[in-house]
Amino acid sequence: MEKTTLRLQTILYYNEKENLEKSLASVARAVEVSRKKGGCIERIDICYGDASAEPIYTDAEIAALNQKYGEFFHLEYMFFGFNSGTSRGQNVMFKTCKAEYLLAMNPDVILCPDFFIEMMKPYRTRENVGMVEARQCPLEHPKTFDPLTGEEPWGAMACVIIPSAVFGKLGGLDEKNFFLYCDDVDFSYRLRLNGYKVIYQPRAFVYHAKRLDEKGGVQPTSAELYYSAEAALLMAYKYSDDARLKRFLQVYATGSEQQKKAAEEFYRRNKNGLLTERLDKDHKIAAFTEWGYSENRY
Amino acid sequence: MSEIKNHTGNALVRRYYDTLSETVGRENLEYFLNGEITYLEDAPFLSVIMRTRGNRPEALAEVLLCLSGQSDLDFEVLIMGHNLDDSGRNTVNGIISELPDYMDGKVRLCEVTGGNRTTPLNEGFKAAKGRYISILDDDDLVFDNWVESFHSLEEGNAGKIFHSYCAAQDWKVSQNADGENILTSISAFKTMYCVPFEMLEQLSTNRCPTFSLAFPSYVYNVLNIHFDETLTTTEDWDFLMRCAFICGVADIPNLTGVYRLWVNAESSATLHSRREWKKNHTYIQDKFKTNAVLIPKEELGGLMYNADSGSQDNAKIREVMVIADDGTGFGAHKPFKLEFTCENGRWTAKCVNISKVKGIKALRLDPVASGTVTVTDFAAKLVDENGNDVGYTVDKKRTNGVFVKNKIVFMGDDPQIRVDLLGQHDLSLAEFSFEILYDVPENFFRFPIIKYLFKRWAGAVYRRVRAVFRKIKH
Repeated sequence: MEKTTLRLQTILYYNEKENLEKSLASVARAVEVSRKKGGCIERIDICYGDASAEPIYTDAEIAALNQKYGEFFHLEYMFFGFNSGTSRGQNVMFKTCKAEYLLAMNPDVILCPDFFIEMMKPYRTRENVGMVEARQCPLEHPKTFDPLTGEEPWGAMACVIIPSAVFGKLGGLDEKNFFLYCDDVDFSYRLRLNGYKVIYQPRAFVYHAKRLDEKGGVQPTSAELYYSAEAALLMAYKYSDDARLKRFLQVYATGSEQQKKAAEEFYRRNKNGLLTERLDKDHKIAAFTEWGYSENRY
Repeated sequence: MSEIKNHTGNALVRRYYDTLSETVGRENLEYFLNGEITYLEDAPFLSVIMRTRGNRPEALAEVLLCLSGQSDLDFEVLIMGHNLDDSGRNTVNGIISELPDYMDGKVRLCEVTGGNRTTPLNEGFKAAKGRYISILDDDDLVFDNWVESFHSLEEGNAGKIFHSYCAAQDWKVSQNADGENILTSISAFKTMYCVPFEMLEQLSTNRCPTFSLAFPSYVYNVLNIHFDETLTTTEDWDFLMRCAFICGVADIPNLTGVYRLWVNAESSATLHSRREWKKNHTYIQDKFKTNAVLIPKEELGGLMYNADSGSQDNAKIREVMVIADDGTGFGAHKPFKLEFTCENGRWTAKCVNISKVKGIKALRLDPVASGTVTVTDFAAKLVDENGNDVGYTVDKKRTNGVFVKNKIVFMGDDPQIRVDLLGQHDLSLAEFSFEILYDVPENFFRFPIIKYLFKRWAGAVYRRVRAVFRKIKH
């Protein structure tokens, strides 16, 4: 099988080193398994972009990790010195990416051993693949997908592989609009507007730790509520859904503090001409539902 | 003075002690009551017993990945390979060898030949080194707090069985275009196992999937309580209750995993006939009847009825849950803490801190986590911040029970009553009053059952049509 190169990019933000090192150990094992089973990945580059206020790692610690896992990957560490959010952080790191494929993932994700073998399959067997998304476990995302082809409306950037050329061609993630949420939905929609497919690969499963309340509900933080509310408005605007935008602004006007703040920010951007180009004017790609960005299986 | 020999022999406590002695052996019981249990120096906190026949490698690899993601790594895993052939053995060994390096030495394959599905459990408990033992099936999923949650109970509760919450979820196996198996979740979480352990409830039905429990290893090693190998199903329920009668159970209300219900793949539900399940159920309950049962003090309130005040401290009422929708859906806020009062059998549930959620559009009252329940004369009192009453309607379409006169009857999982406010309001008071019966009125089984089934069918059709409509719209 023809070998290829891949760079893993992840944003650190006050993470526990213990969790990061579990993730790195799983990456090393997945590279080893790929090599052993004749997969197209034999060694990878990893770039850590640290958006914390103080560096998580020292140079000596990075050197020790490179010493330990050097057979499987080279780890590069960038300390940003500012809180980049996910989209800007990924774009900053991508400027130095020379690999053919980009693996964007959350820093504490643990890969299954066959990860690279399964994730790279769609690139060998399908045409115009722009993104392959892994299945998160133990909490699988309920988005609809075609079980035969794996095609789906968008891919969650908790763990996806994207061809670097495609990432560059589309100008990377939209850091002007999306700080923390919906950068992945937006990127997926833009991929599809440009004729690429987004593929869900359930055979590549990754452990993404989540804590739920006692009834299985998610308890978002105030920041998460704000950025998701802001992203919802900007998505509705960007994907030319005026009815949705109007409805959200009406709800937000008497909604939570985070929603009111998100609406104010939207009006500020509108007033100052900071809203970006509108896309998908004939509504062929954006798969909005009442509150979400695609139909769900349940 | 006359002396009656063995005069206290029939006293309840003596009978209890004697029954226990017969069950576990007097010497073992004395050793147990002495309380000095020894463990190997290198004993981990938890031994994880995982039965496998090596025939679902995708799920096995996934549950081991879940264990790799634990926040607390103080455990060992014994994979009990039952009647493995060469292919199954190679599959299991291959999966173990591909775990990340920090799992080295934690996971080992123990082969068991012969017996039924219960045999590997006894062999696993015998080989386990941990102070606690949990049974994790080769298709379960656990969150990263699974071991940590049990471990956190050890201080202050050592010696009891530990119990955490878990969700159930429907999954299916299908094939992709290349003919490869893919596993997919097809339902939201079901919360019937997100409830505290209740000794009396547990005598009728088991609400504790195996991995929601961790047993002190002394029950097997010291008290000689073993799995009953004559049972082909529900052996875990039988074992749990025989242990719980002696050890008691400590709860931690953390959601720690997902019990996968396979809709189209082999499981114990499909491998054994309904008749076999029923036979085992009866056999186990007959065994319960031979024991005296200690009732934890927490459950006593639920059994007592005060004729003077008409109040009943019904433990199940604590399962009532109220959540708000402020326009962002019911998932955005935690359930409210509730204060309950009861007068002449009529309950009032008052939301504490209702004013914390602004702009409430709707409230949802879940009367019970799961199971059959009838709510009678349901009413709400809603008051806004200015002291004005707020009008509301009970949304009959989105309330998933059947309305029969003044009753709402629920027979499915996760009963919900949805109350729509007339407008969006900042509330200062929200209280709900109702009578509740954990049963179904007799006359429901005439006409309304048809209505109920029709409503479920109509709901499914409505959702499908809505999905198609949205696709057309866009």
